[in-house]
Amino acid sequence: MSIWFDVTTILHWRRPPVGVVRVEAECFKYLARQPGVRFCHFNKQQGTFHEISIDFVNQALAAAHVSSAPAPEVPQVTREDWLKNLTKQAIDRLPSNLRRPTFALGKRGVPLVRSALAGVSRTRQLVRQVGNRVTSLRPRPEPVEVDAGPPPNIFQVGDVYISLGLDWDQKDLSKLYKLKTDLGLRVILFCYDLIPVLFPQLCVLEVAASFARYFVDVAWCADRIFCISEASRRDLAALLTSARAPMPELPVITLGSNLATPVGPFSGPVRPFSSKRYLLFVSTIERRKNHEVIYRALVRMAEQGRTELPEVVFVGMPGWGVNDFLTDLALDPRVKGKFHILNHVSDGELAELYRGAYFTVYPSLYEGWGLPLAEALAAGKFALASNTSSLPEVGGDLVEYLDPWDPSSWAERIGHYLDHPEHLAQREQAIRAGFTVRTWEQTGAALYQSALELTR
Amino acid sequence: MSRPSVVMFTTYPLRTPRHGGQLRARALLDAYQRQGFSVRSVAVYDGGAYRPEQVGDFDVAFPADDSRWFLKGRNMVGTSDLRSGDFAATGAYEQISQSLPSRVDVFHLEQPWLLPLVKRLMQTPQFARTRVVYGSQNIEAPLREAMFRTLKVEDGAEVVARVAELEREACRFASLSLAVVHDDLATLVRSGAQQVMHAPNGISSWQGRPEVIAAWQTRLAARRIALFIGSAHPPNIDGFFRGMGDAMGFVPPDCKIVIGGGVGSEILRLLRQGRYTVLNGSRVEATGEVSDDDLAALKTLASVFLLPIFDGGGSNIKTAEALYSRKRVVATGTALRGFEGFLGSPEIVRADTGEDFREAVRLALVPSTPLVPALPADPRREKLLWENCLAEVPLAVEKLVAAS
Repeated sequence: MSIWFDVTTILHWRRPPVGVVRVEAECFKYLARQPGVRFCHFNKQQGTFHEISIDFVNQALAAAHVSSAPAPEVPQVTREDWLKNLTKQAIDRLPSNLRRPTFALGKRGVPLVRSALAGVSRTRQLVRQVGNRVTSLRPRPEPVEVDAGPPPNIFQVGDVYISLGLDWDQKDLSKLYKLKTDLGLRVILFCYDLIPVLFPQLCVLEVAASFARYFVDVAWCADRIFCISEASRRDLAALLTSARAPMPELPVITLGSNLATPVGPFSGPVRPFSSKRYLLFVSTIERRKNHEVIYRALVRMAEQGRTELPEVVFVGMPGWGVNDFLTDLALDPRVKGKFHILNHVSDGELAELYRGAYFTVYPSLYEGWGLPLAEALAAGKFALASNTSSLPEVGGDLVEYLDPWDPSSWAERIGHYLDHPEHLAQREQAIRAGFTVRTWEQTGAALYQSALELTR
Repeated sequence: MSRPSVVMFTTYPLRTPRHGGQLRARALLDAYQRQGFSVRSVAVYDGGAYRPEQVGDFDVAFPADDSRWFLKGRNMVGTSDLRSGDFAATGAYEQISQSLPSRVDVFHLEQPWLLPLVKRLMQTPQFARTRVVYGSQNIEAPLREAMFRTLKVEDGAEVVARVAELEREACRFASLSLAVVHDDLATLVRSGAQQVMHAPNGISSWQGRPEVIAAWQTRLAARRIALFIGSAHPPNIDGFFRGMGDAMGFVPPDCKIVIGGGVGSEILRLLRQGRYTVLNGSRVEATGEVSDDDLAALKTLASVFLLPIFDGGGSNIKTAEALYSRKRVVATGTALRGFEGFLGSPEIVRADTGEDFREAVRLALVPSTPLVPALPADPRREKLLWENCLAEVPLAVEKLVAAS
């Protein structure tokens, strides 16, 4: 029996990491070193799962810049994997007019894996066909979607399948359900949060409407759904009860929060902050994250006559529904030059940004967990965070919690800690003494143990 | 001696029967015909509710815009049958009386509504010796009372009283009264019926055509199908939601709840409200009114028949159909009324609460529950066919005619 870890999200991701990608990438790094674990991705077009080599995933990770730590030692790549990847990469490099005949080769009943096993000669021939057009066989960041022919089912009776990626977008759960019922596949899935169900107004509406169905289908497919906090477990259980869906096991798993080693000196847009102090807010810029309350707090502080306003660094990509807000930030003379938006920040640079911050803020309206809050604490930084959803679980009494809808309290507490560095130092001392950093290794190990249990 | 001549009076045409009342009346007509009777049906029907091709040669429309639909100055809910009876005995009387055969041995009054017409006809010398057979499909007065209570109709008591009186009068007037279930039979006796007979509801057998079955298989793309059939009758909608609820999360992702008949569009509209729009849309398919071929295909494809019937009297044709299917059946006790003999069969699951009902449906759909194996021939099931369950009726009527 095998444990399969689905890396579809890693293979599709081409931008700086967000929480889900990081979780998948970090767990991959642990699982890649465990015996009996194999890796797969889902081809949505074909509705099929395909095995993929550790080596290839590592290359994809490196290309997408999602790796935050040195790559682990990976097991020897099999000849079969090597041939398969070589072929895939070669086809992927082909000009479009050559790709079609190559696909046809596969469709004539020569599935890629079998053709690789059948003989190196065919691969060589293919590579020769590509000839001078192949300039490099290094993988591109794009996911490989060039499998030819109907692949055999990769799963065996009683295997365990784990997926913790962007499944609502990248998977067809009806296929997974069929595998589960036909093969007795044991399935572990993840629940990050129920934001689209609970707060559809904060999401793209068409997407939000489909999420209740998504979670119900997850419940039908999964033997276990790992929830990333008690709050998300509670919300999921309530939804499944209300939707009258099955209730699989809903254990809570704590995500890692260990950071990469700070790197310096800074380069590019990050460089100016090496000599400054600032408030730091790490998060995609979207309405739910409530960046606006920090803006309003600073405006309030300015209106109350504070002459020295702190600078604020937002690390994250602007997302959906924040255009007006970003315009306000750019044009409001009361806070001109105070807000800075950085993205494409590497993990090492992020660690350095944490080090240089006065403290961090996290006024999100709702979270499934709140990874940046955990990372701030791991970096030894105090945080002002909202008093909602899972955030008190993350920070315990090491964080000060505020009403996310009340700019005045944010203005007052930000001013307080700026004016009383000794209080900030006490807070940081408490964090150093009281916060236990959960490593991604531990998260990966918990996942692995859970999968092992299901194989028994 | 010539064979008996029967005229059946209904408030709905019988040319293309769809709802339960139509199906039963038509089956009775067929039973008479099989026995060699001369039969004719006369419906006084709602002129706004049927297309021309659905109407028989001797049927009479009660025009939809006729002011006689109104009672107490308004088109009061639950009174259209009574209004039809009044109209039949007045506005439609000449047309009907002139079209009747010269000799009618039996007026078969299916439900009591057209009793005023029958009474007036029997006052004429031509039909003075004609016998009346009263086909009671339900005991209507308590049902009407429950409906008024549900709909909060405050001045319904007068209507209920009139319906009750009409039913009693029909019993007294009829030489033979037919009851669908034993409870109703006892009520008819108490109401003064001269002679009563248990004539249960039944069904017609069906045979799905392979090409139609294949087309539905492709369209539904479901591993298992649970089938609910109903007309757009408010209790059918209410029953569905009481049994199934408003969130279809208990239906496996590769299964479908298929709703056949007019009830589907309203159920689907209600299921699409709220946060479970997409979920419910993925699990429920409403076919609307479909042809008999389509219906036969759906019944053939179904793994489980759903009978979420919580209110109402009599017995349900839908129940007979489900029992005859030899598939799994999830039904309330109310739905199984009149078919108690089937309780205890392993494929019949009785569920009287929403929670039990949904759990039974879930269990019937998950692949770990084996499908009902092909059952051996069962005489009880054969008795469910109309030709068997109503076979005694024409014989009784023949005796009645012979004795007069």
